[in-house]
Amino acid sequence: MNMIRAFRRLFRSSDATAAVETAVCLPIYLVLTLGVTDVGTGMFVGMTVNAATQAGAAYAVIHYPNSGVCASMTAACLSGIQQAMNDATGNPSFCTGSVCTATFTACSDPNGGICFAVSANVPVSPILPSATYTWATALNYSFTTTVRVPTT
Amino acid sequence: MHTLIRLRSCCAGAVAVTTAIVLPVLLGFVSLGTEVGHWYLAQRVMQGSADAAALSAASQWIADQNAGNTSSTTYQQVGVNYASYNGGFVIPTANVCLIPVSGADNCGTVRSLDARPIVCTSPPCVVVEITQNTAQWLTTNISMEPTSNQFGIQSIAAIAPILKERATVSMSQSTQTVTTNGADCILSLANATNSVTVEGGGDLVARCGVAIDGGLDQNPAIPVIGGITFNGSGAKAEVASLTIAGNYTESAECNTNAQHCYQWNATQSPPAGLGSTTVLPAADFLANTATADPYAATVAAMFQTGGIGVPPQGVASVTLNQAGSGYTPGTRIFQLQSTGNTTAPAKVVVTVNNAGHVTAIVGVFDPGVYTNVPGAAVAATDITNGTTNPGSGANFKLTEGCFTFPGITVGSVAWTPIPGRKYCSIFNHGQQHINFPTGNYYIAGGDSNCIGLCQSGNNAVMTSDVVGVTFFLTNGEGSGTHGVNSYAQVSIQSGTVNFCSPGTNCGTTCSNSTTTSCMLMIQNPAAPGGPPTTVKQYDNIVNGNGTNTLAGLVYLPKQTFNTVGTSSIGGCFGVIAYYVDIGGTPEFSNGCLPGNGIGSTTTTTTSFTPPVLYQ
Repeated sequence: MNMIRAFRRLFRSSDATAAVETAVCLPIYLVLTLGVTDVGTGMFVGMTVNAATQAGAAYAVIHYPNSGVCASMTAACLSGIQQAMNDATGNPSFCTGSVCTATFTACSDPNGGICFAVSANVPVSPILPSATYTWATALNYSFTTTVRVPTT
Repeated sequence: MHTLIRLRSCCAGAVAVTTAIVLPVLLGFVSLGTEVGHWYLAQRVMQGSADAAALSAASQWIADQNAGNTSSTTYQQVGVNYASYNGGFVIPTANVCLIPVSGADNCGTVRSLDARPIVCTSPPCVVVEITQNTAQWLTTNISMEPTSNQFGIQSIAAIAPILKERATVSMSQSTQTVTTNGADCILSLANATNSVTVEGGGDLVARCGVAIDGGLDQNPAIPVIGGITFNGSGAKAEVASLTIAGNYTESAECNTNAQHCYQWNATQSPPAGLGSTTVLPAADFLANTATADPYAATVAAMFQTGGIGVPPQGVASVTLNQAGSGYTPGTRIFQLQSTGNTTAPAKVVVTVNNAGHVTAIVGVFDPGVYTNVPGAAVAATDITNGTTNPGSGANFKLTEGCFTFPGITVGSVAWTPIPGRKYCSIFNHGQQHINFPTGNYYIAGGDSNCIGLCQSGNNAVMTSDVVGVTFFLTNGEGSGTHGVNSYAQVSIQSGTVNFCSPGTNCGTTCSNSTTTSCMLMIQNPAAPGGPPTTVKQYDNIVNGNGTNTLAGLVYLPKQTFNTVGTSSIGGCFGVIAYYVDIGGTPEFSNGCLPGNGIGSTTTTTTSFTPPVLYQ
């Protein structure tokens, strides 16, 4: 009986109303703030990845002609591409691990040729729980720049 | 009513109400911030897409240029495709254009889309322009951003930028010119089937190529019929290659009646190449291949006014005007007083009587070099023995004209040829040996004994200094038989000649350092010409019973070069003539021709550096 009375009093009481309402609304604000932060971080990583792959592809094209180091996909060529990607991001360890990859294959488009496909795949750890972003396909930011050189 | 009043005065739930009011605004600005961030990301992706497209398009353009498809526009298609492939979520449409090294570009659309000037400091450049109107994203996507008239904020759609990204790739062009020296030493210019003729048992031995142009480089409209004719089953050509401008087959040219064309063989004993049994390989028989006369313009300029082939004025003869007095008796050499228009005053050999008066003229010793031979009488000084001797008062009247080559003496005074003078002819006959000091010799028009450079007599010998001589064969003066219409020719009928042109050092190579380097006998291209006939009026003959040596170029663009009999000509020797008529066993080689020789090729290649992005 005391329990019921105590609940009734609690329900009628207007003490600490602000605190209670803040406690209810705070998660909304937090989700909003942290969500914006996560989106911004994602965009930054996305730009970095894009710039890195583009720099890597530019390196490959410049070093393809005249039997250059990237005339075929050698270890030296890959190393040069990764160095260019590190330089483009300003992060000397950007390509650490298997973040940066490059392939050297025949192009699929009607003009033929050889395509350098330079990819970077960077995982991000959001502040909000990963489950929040299940609507997004993945929490990896990846981009592939494809540049074509005609076969000589 | 009571409820409404209580609600108004109730302070409970204030935060919830505030949140309810503020949240839409908050969400709007969060969306706006995200949207603006998205623009930057899109811009970055577009830039990457443009860069990749420009690199791909430039690579394609370079490949097209190298393959000769200079006007191909495949690069534009490649650029558009690869902009799309690299667009990520943006999927841009690209405009691709080219800034060429010279001439108009095709970047009108790019400029109309993006007013920024196109920077291409080192053309050619490929430019890729990608534009995106972000306002379209706002209007087409479900958006929570504030739109028009909400909260008094100007429409975001109005401030949504049109993103413009441009990539410019430079492919700095460079041009290399590679000149390959010619491998030919005989070029005949006549468009006749007997342009080159090998007579009887003649053997044309050439450690170099023989070219027959048939006038193709002078008049490309004519049907080219120039070829080689072998008169007699024993006639042979032992050559490194045979190049004919006309449409010939080796069998038609070389195998008529008998096999005539053999490959020059270095291992044959002297005269090298004689007796080769290797049939000229098909690879060394080049038909439908024109060979330009590489010296036509150079030599034509030499005989223009002021050119090096134009002879100076000189003294043809002198008459005694004043006998003077006080001279040493005997046969004396007098040098004429130097006037303003001479760089080398003439010298005459005179007879001085015992009274010290000049009594007779023996002959001109040096015709001198004049821009204008003076008409008034000219005083003279006795310079016999190289010193100034006593005597005064004698003077002479001069007649301008060519100088008759005196041989080895003028009267009793020993004489050697003087370079840089205008000769009527140079005729070495009899038993004498004449050596020509280094320099240019002008032979103008000829005279009754010899038209040009002649030699007869089995023991007659003409040689030159090792530093080299050049003979310019040109026309005379006046309307006489040997006047302006008479052009000097070469007629070495017997004896031996041993001439070297400047730069050859009488060896097998030539250094091109002066205008006349490697030029031995140069005939004025204005000379008349025609096919060789029995009269042989246009034949330039090099016969002789010794082993002749000619080092350098013999240039007879209108006339015939003829060598018959048992003569052999060695040395590093090349001929350009209208017709070439071979009877003996002359040996030709091409190491000492001017410039890059006969049949040289100049190829200009254009190359491009790998595409480089402008930052």
